[in-house]
Amino acid sequence: MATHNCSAGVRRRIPVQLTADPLDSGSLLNRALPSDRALRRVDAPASRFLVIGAGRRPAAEAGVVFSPDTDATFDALILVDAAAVARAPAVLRRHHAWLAPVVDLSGTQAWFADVRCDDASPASWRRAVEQSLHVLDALAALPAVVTDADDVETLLLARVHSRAAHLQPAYDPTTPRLVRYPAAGLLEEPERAAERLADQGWLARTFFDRMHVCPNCASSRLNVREECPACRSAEIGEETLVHHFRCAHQAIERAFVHADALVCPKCRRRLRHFGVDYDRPGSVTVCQACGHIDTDAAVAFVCIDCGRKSDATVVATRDWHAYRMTAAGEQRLLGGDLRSLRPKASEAATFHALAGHWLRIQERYGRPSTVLRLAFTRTSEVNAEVGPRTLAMARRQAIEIVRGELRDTDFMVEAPEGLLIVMPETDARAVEVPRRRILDRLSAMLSIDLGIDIRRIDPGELLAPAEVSG
Amino acid sequence: MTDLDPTRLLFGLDPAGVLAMFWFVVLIDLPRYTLGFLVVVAREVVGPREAVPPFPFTPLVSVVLAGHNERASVARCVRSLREQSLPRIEIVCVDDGSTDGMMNELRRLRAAGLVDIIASSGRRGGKSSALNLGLSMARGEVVITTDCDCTFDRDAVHQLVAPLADPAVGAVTGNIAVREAGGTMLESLQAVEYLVGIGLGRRLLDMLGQLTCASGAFSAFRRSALIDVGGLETGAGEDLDLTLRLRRAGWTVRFAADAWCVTDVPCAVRAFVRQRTRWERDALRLRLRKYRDPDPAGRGLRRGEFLQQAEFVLTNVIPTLTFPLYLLWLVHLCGSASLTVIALVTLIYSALDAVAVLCALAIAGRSGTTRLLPYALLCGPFQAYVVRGIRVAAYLQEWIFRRSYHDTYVPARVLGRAPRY
Repeated sequence: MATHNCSAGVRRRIPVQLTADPLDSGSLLNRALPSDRALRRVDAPASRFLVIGAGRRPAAEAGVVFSPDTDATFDALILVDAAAVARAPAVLRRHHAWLAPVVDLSGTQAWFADVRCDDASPASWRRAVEQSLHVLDALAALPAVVTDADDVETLLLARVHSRAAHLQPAYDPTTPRLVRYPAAGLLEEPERAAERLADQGWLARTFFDRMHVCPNCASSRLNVREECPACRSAEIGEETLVHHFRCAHQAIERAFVHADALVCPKCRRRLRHFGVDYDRPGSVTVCQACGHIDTDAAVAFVCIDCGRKSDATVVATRDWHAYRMTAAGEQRLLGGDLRSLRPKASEAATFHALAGHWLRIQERYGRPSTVLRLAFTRTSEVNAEVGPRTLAMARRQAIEIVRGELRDTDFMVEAPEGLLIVMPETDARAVEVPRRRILDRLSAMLSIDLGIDIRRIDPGELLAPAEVSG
Repeated sequence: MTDLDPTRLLFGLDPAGVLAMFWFVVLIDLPRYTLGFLVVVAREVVGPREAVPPFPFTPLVSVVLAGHNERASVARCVRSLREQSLPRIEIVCVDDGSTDGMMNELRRLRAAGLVDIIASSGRRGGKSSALNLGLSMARGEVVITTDCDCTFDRDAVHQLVAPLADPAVGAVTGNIAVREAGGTMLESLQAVEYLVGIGLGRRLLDMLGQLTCASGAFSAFRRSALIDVGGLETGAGEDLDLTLRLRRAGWTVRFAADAWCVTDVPCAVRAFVRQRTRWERDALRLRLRKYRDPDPAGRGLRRGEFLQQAEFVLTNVIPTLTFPLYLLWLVHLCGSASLTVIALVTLIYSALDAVAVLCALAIAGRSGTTRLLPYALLCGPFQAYVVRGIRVAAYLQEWIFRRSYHDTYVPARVLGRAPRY
């Protein structure tokens, strides 16, 4: 994470009372600002608004300074035209102005702007400055340890706090991912940081949408289409089936059509009466390219960005969530306490504790126990063959099967390459029975060969810190 | 009616007396099965065995599975097909208007890459139309039909398809064993029956060129032969119907004894009786009514087709219908000793069928079949009284009432439009 060295949005801003500037006939701020602003101290430093773009801009106000100098530091950014919108990301990145409020007066609806207006009218200027000052006020209320942070998580928390405590995703067809978090501004991959913060209790998540992702370029701009399962042509159509009762011939309708009559191609009899001579029991998909007939069409995804065509089974999905700051998170943030809200008591840690305890019992009282490692040795091959979704489903199914085969006294945990299983009161010879039973069950029930291998391991190996996923 | 002393009866008979008393067994059942089976065994043991070639004949094989409400069993069947040693197998599954979610199961299997083509006829139309739909979608030069409750030895398809290397062969039927999933005696008796009737009986008919039924449970067809005869016809007994038409079209039908399929059989008495009644009614309708004329097209097949009809009449129809009369005659002849005589007849049947079972076991070449040995002695009475009793009832139903035209195996709206004979 780059160092945050810009005053934009984090400079300790003391609210100021705004006064009218007699030199500016278009003084925008003096007439409509809320009355609370009138109480603010006159001696506070003014907020510096960087204004990019051609056009008329208001003169400096008391407490607010408008500047066109892109090299100088700034508190907020106002974009007046489309060219300014195009320049803005570079300016913001150059100044590391990750928290600065951005106003778009160009009418282009810049996605990273906090305030978007259709024009640069006086009313729009007034609204832009007012809302920017609200954001700056909220940022000013945060401790310096938050606003001076240089990690994405803390900056994201600061932005969420200063932007109504919500991180709401929005559809945006201009990005390959199709979803953006405008409140996150230009922070890179805010969803990852948000997930970590949600895991730690700072944010609460709610499901927003699920997007399919191209396995080649990770774009979600995919064209979903039905195609022939045999030749993969999208040129397919639906035709009804005709069943001739008398001779049992059943085929697509076009095989029966003879001029304007239906004639059975098998027995050459005319089908005169629906429900008596024949019926139409259903329909099938017929490929116009290769003639293949099937009940269902295959579903495929074509990536608009890279052109890769993928089967539905191999296209992974990505879930998007909306986030809001939790009350506890907000309190901690305002207090500048950035420790995690939720110490991670993982399943792995519990497993370690249990396993360690049992191994100590084994050592002290000479009780038998066995540790098994179940490995999925064909995951990369299966992933290549059927895709990540099917692999994940097969793996989950396998784990559920193993869980069902374990005794009440056994315990297990997921490891990166499979499972670790502790079987108390079971010596090396006796463990062969459940081991064989688990393997047989997996073999019988799994439709995909995951290359499952189960073998005994040294208990000391079990407690290696890197062993268990966390 | 004459009262005879059972002891005198049993030990006092000269050869002419034995023939007079047990003519039914000696003249009908002994040559019908036992002698023929001994010939088969002798040929298997002494004669050169036809080796299955490494497989110079490598057609694309399409397996067409059609089923109604077979959700529970279709996956097992498909997985078994995917275990086959023969690499080029296309699996086409047709759901015949199921209401148990079979179509969803088929979709799952196709998503897993286990099934190539699936189709649904939406509304149940009967097995024939479902198979015809599957046949129209199958791309293989060879088409195998089977049932959803079947599974297969790994080399079964290879063994089944191999005889089709001979261009004269239009159909090959495989060997069928019983799964005995329910563990009932009825299943075990059927297992013995299949072992003898199919494993041994079809070998005999194959030797004689008289195979008349390529079983729907596991048979392979040359696609051009199927198209030649128009696929399957409406009505129950569609496999027998198809085979008879293939024979009349001049195609040879063979038996692949080493192509093993395992199937479920009814384990409840009522289901068993219903199934057998249907089979027997269909056999009578098709062989003596629909295909009564042995060679309508004048293809010079009259002799062969006449022989298969004669075989059916002499070994099935007449023995079946005369057996009750024979029993009545025995009762009339022997009076109070009739029970002893009938017991003796039963013993003879047991002995004859035990020989047949031993013959079948000797040449089955399949592990696990020897456990059926204890049922060898029960097989005779089971066949003589239970199976034959069902057959008598079925023949009479069909002969007098034509009950096969009201069978629920095919929906009434469809069966009602089928031609009657």
